[in-house]
Amino acid sequence: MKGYGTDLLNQSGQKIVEIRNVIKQFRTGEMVVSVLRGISLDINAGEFVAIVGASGNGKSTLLNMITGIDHPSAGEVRVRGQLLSELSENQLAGWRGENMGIVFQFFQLLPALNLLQNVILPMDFVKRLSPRERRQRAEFLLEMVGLIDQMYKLPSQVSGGQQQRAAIARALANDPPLIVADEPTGNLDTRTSSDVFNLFSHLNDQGKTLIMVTHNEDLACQVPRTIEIKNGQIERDENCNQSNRTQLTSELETTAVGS
Amino acid sequence: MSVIWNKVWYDLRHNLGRTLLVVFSIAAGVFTVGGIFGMVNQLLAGMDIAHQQVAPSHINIILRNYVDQAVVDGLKSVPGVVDIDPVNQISVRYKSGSQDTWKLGTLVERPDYENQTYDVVVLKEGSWPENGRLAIERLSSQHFGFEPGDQVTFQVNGAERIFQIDGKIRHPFVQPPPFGGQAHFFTDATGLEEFGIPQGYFGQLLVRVDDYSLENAQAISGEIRSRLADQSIGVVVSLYQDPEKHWGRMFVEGITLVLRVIALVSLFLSVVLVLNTLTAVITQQTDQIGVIKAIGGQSGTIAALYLVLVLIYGLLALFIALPASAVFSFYMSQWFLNLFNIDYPNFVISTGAVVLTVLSALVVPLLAVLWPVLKGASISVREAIATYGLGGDFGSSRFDRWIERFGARFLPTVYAAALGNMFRRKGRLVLTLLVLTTAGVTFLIVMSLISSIERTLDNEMARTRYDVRIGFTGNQSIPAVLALVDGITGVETAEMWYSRNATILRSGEQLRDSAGLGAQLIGIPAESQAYQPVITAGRWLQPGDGQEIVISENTAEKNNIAIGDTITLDLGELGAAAWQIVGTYRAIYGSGFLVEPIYAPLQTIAEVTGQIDQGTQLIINGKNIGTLSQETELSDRVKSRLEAADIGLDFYTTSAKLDQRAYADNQFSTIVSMLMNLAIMMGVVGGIGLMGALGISVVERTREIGVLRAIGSRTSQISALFIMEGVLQGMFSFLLALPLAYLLAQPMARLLGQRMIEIDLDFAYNFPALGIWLALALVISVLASSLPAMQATKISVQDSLSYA
Repeated sequence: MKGYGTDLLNQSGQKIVEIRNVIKQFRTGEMVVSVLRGISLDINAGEFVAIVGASGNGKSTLLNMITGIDHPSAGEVRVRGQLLSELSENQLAGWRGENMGIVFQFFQLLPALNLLQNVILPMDFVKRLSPRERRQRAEFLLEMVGLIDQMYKLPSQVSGGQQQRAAIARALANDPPLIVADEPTGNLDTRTSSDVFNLFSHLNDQGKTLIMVTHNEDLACQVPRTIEIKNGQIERDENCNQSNRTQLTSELETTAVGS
Repeated sequence: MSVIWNKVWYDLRHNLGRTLLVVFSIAAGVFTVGGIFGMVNQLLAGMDIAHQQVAPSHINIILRNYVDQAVVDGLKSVPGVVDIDPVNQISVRYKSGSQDTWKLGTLVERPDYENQTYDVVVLKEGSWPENGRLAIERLSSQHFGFEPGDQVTFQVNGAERIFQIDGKIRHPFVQPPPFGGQAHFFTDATGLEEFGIPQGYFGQLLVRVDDYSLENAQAISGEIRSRLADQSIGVVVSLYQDPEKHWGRMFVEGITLVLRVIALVSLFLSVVLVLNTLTAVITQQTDQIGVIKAIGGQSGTIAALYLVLVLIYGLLALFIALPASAVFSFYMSQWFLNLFNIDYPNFVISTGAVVLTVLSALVVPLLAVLWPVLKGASISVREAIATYGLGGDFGSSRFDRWIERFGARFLPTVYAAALGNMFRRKGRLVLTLLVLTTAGVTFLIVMSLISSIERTLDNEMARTRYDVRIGFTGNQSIPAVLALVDGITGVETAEMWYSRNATILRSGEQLRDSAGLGAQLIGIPAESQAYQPVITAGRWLQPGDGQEIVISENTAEKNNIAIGDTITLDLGELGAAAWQIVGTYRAIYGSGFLVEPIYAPLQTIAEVTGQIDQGTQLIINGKNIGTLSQETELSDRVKSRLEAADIGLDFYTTSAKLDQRAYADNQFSTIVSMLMNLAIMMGVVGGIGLMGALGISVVERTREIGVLRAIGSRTSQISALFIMEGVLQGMFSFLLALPLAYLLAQPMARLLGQRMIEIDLDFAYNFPALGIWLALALVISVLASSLPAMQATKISVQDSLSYA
């Protein structure tokens, strides 16, 4: 089944995320902590970006700015041209459903729904497809991630890796142009991490824009662009060598087979 | 339909314990509302309908002399009189074959049982009394054990006569025996003649007027009295009866008011439980709410999910509570109505109660949870899913730090941890404490109501400083009687009182305009200490008083008679005189079947009426009398001496003090047991609330429990944490309930006293109940926290660390 965003490849190179002088501060008790200290960056459509850095340096906070889950204390965040601060919480929820898919570290599948229902759920919110079409697309996505035989199982009945793959399928439900993943392999073993990463690469090859927060430097190096956050500022923003990516992928697979 | 609605079904069945807890919590409150309001509706309507069906007379005139049919027919021409049904009712002494002691009863006669006009009695079993045989009243049969076919011995003109019971009759106006009513027998004219009343003569007139109002009935009664007076026929008293409302309504309305209040409190408590539980569920599912919003779901959808969940809880509760409350209200109504001798065989459902039940089950819980649902649904994604560690925000406020320091300084570690845990969710703590405290306050108030009733009766008894009162059938010489009883073993002091039925006329009202007020005038010796009622205004009688009287507070209020007013007492052939009111007293006993006494100096009555040294009641104070049997023995010794001297005794006005106390206790026992049961139910509801809150707490703290296990905490220590938290909440609620109950108990006691018996109860705060509630609160807390504590101990490290 074709996705219904096939014009993405034609938009490659256009800015999909624009961040300007974003500052984020938190108040804990009597202290004010600055987590982001004036970050500016652009991400183009079709890019695969890894955001790296040590714990507590602001990676997830930056990601929350991009998804609209959190708001900057100062500065602007635009995604697909939409200034996120203009939207109310409810409007943001609806906008997210149509424009991006989010993959969480702890999968965050709804425990009350089976895998098929979890994937159908975002489509129910957006209501672009008929109920029959939603089911068909959900089955297609679950087959794509290798979970068609587990589609009636509850999240508690499948492994962590399977849950994460289902979460990826859910993130793709409305065929969003942008996929955002916060430590998607943080709770997975090496082999499964490799599978998930390969999936992301495949999606990127299809024209999706991917932004992935990870603390795994090796994984990050496989990603074409890496942004390192340190003390709330961009320390490094560079493209990794494509050959390094291929070599490291092989090493990961070898390690996984041997384990 | 969106797949998200599967979450509702999952939430219902996945945590079945919680679902059942919530459903039964709502059902308990709804059941109480539906059951009690349904019972009240049916009870009051049933009483009034049964009352109207017997064609109740508007005026019951008790005559001093017997009259024939000609006199009765003459009275029918009084303007406003529709008809008059003449009847007889006399006091009798009886005993059954197995008894040795005589008892006081009532014998009723109707000239024609087949063609009654007013206050219709109904044959229930056997046959109408004829040819001198008897029938027994239905309630009397149940209570005293008489059946058709039994024989009863009566004292007739000093001799014993045996009569056979042929039938069972229902009389609409008998005082229920459980409330102190006497046995009622029925006879015909032939049978009554055996007791000295000629056939065709009547001592009571049942009158109906064409346009009933109390004023109109009083006016017509006055005219009747006047015409009777012209024929030298005296009237003892005129009793008035509302044709639409049952005579027992006032008493029932008082009880049902309290029951309705408690039903609403119960509903409130159950709704608070639902609110507590749903708040905890939303808190527990905050991350799911965040995820739903992160993938496109909006606040409206989330709010609808939880509201539908509550609606389903309500529907399930309604399914349980509606039929249960309908059955309860019918059978309770039937039981109460049977107490008042009213049949209620056909199952009836109160429409009003059904509506209330449905609203209580469906609408009230929804309204209660609306705010937390909307608040939960509006939570931002960041707040919902950006949590760290084990959720440790306790300690961020000054109050939290004070709690922590207090616990660290004064308590062992486990208790200190439990104390801190208790304050982590302050909102839930407030709700749980609200439930427990309300339960405690209600319990303490009910116990104080009971102790106030007890104190009121005790005080009344304390003011009755004699042991035995013996009435005479006619006037007796005071010196002669006192000489007779002097020297009888056990008699410490004796005095004589004079009593006479009287009519009170208010200044300005002529006899023809109003029948006045029926009363019993009692003359007491000036120096008497035998009786000193509670004076509510003015003063009691004093030595040296002349034409001064003390009347009941009830009579004064109802008829706008004030201290200092002058009224006329009409004593029939003994004449009328003006008296000044110097005080009002509180009358406890008397339920509409008795007229309330008015007290005057004995000497003054003698001077006014010419009845010098005459008395009608002997008042005896015994030596070392402490039990009813001792009082009865003393009474029997005195009565034997008097009877030996051919002095006629009126057993209707003879009584022992402790008998009177037992009679009063009987009257209140039904109310007391009902209140006790409701107080206990409040305690149970409070315990359920605590159990629910702690259960949710266990689920929320699953990760924390796993961490505790991982760092060495044993099962007993984890269990102790939760049990101690429950006990601390129980103790807090106890401390909160104490002052609240103290503040509220007195106004509640006043309200109950006024509504039920139209007096202010002597308030007594039930201090022993504090100890009982403390023990109950401890037991409830331990029991309620045991199950959650057990659940907590079953959580393994692996389970908890994989919990997210």
